[in-house]
Amino acid sequence: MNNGKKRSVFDGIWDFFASVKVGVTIIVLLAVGSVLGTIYPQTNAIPSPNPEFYYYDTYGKLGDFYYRIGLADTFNSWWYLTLVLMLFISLIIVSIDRGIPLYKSLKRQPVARKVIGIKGDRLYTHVEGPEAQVKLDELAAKLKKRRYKVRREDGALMAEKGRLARFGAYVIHLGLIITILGVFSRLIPGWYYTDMIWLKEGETKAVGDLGFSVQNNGFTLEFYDKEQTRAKKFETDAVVFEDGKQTAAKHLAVNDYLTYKHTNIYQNSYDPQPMFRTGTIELLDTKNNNKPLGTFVLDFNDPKREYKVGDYTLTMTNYFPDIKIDPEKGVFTNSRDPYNPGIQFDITGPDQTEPARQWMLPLAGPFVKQMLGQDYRFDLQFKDVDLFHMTGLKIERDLGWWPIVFPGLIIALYGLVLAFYFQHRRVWARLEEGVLHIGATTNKNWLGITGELNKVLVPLGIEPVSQKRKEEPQQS
Amino acid sequence: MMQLSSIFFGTAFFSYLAATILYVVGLTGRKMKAQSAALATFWTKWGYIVIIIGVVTQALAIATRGIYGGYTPVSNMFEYMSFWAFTIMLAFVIINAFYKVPVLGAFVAPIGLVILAYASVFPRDSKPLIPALQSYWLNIHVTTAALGEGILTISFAAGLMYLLVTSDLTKNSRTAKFLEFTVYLFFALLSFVATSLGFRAAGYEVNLTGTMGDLLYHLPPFIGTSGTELGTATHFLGLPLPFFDAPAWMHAADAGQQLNTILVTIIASLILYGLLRLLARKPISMVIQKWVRGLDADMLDELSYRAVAIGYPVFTLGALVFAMIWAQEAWGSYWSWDPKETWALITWLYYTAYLHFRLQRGWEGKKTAWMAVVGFVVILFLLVGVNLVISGLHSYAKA
Repeated sequence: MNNGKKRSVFDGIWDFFASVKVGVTIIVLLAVGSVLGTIYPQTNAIPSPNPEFYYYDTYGKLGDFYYRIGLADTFNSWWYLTLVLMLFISLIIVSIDRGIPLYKSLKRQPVARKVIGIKGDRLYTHVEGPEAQVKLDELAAKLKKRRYKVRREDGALMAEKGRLARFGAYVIHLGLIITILGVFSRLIPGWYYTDMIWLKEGETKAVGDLGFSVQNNGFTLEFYDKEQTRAKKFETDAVVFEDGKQTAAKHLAVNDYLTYKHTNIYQNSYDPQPMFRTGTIELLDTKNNNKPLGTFVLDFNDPKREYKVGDYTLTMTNYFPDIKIDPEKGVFTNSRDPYNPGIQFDITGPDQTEPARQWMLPLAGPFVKQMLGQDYRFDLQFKDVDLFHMTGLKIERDLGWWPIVFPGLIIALYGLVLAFYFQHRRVWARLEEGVLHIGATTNKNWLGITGELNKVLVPLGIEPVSQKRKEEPQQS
Repeated sequence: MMQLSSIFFGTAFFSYLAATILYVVGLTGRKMKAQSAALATFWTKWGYIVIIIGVVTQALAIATRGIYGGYTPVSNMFEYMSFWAFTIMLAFVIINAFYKVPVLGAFVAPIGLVILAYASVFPRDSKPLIPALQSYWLNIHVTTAALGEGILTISFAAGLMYLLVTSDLTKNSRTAKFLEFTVYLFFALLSFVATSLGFRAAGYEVNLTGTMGDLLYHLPPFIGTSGTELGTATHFLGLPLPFFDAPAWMHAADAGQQLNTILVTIIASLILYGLLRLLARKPISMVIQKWVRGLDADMLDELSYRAVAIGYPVFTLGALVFAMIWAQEAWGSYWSWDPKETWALITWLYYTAYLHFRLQRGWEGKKTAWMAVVGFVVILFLLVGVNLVISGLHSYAKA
């Protein structure tokens, strides 16, 4: 890069990113940054839509500080992404800066090396005498058998194998470059879509603007134990509709998803709190020793205005699907789903002058009776109740995973195998003045190449090689 | 089948214990009686054989437990930690076959033993798998990751030995202090295991009633958490409990118990360490240093690096790539910055830095040996700290 001329800004940037020191510093900073990001849960993992209160409420002042300085969203912060980008640039520049010269030097290797060079190799042996030329030919044949790539010139030989192992580090870099590209492919419009949809049984919901909708055709939940603490399985019969037609269907389970138009639909979770579907309710006469007066069926998703039980009429005056009673806010519904229904009836019958107005609260009934101290004229009891859970499906479209991220990882792994488990082995032989000089080098595992060479040399009657020095730099 | 597994498990535990004793006796014996060098190799040779017996029986323990439970037993802390101990011992058996460094066993065997003992602190019952874990990727991802961590643990042991061989501990240097502290940490882990198992074996139980539900606690609750009732435990050895409450800024519901466990561990470890120190009349690291005196430092350095070179690709495959594939299969997102995931990445980045220092900057010897030692602490946090301190997608492994 530097050939005496004035160095440009480009050269400066190039040299900066080509420095291993800089690369490792980026790696260390990423590691430290990642540690900071695990101190408290990140905003995407907290069970609250209001992070500004959540961190203080859950983790106190430290948590609040953590949120305020932006660490609650470390992995999307500008500085973290900048570090990733710098790593990306560093990987590319380091690989070009070192990989290309290495490629060139290996490409230009001479077959006939100077004898003084061969003599200086860590592994060296020689053979003298009239049969030296024959030995050279035999050596070439033997090395070929051991899958060395053998090149010959007059009186010289160069055998090489595992050259790619020298590029292991750059193959890893390439794999990581592709992986990072794949991760950022999420930024391309339409390439990445993520959503979570909650479906009641029978319910259909459109998936964003992807043009199709998903229906829950039935949800099953099974536990291992009676106490229902350890879920065995939760599965949804999912159906996909597009343009009013059913286009796909699958029985979804965790780890078994449905793919529709490059979009995956996953069984992700379920709402642990059940909802009321229907209930068979019995009307009891409290004045008459709780005498049963008859039953009616209530559909909590679609309650009727009026129910007839024998001679009695129940008129619904109020329906709160998810009732909450608050001393300040009064009575209100928390959601539109029947998690905790509260129904107010006016009950009229033959023996009444005016209707009895009373609440029916399946989940909070006893509590309300205690609080209000009301002496109800009637009692409403469930004879049979049908509860159900809402299923949570995750919709994920990540077009970068299969074609980019995954191959990137495989390439990086291949590079790791090359870099750590394979060796570049080179053998040179040169006939000069009736003496055949044989030398060999490798970038690692000297024991391996020594053994391999001796397996070749000993049958040829050549003196076995032995390592000259014990220590030598690992990479050349 | 479960009983058979327990028998195999116990056999493996005692094999590792016997191997530890054989190795330590072999080493100290060699130094104490210079004339019995042959005897010392006899001890370490048997140590190696006994470790192999331990590895084989633990493999049987894992297999039988797997047959009983119907899944590869790596799904909770007990199963995972004991599996890690298994991979450490297995990695040692294989590496020793190539490098023939029996002394390494005197370091690896106690580490594996303590980790195995630590595993038994957690509930040992085999629970059926929750849906998220019902995938063959559980076997592939977790076992490969553990194998990588096992091999990296060998680099820690060799690095520690290198430091002991090359450091002059008679001078009051930083190296000497840090090495002594590393040795102390080992005793801290040992004390934690001993106190936990001790109080449990003695049947000590406290029913804590808190805002987050009831909790059965096996140590005396010296520290209270606001909002937690101490139930039956009002006194310990005649002293009223709790001594004081956890500071208010520690909001977590079980902060009191965690702080208490740390306190008990520190007290117990200081007692244990103090006793040993009194017996030895010098830093424990100096006692251990005697065992390794005369070993080839370069060989240990090379061994420590080799273990990283072998373990790093295995760790990458198991803890990152397989994990990402599984996450993509199960959740549709190959990466979600879950704390465990992030810590696997941190560990990976750490060893990536190690390799760059070693290969590109020519760092050898002390610097990388220290990195190998600290690397073990990083792995320990990845495997234990994350589960106990931070909760996330892997929190099912807590129990």
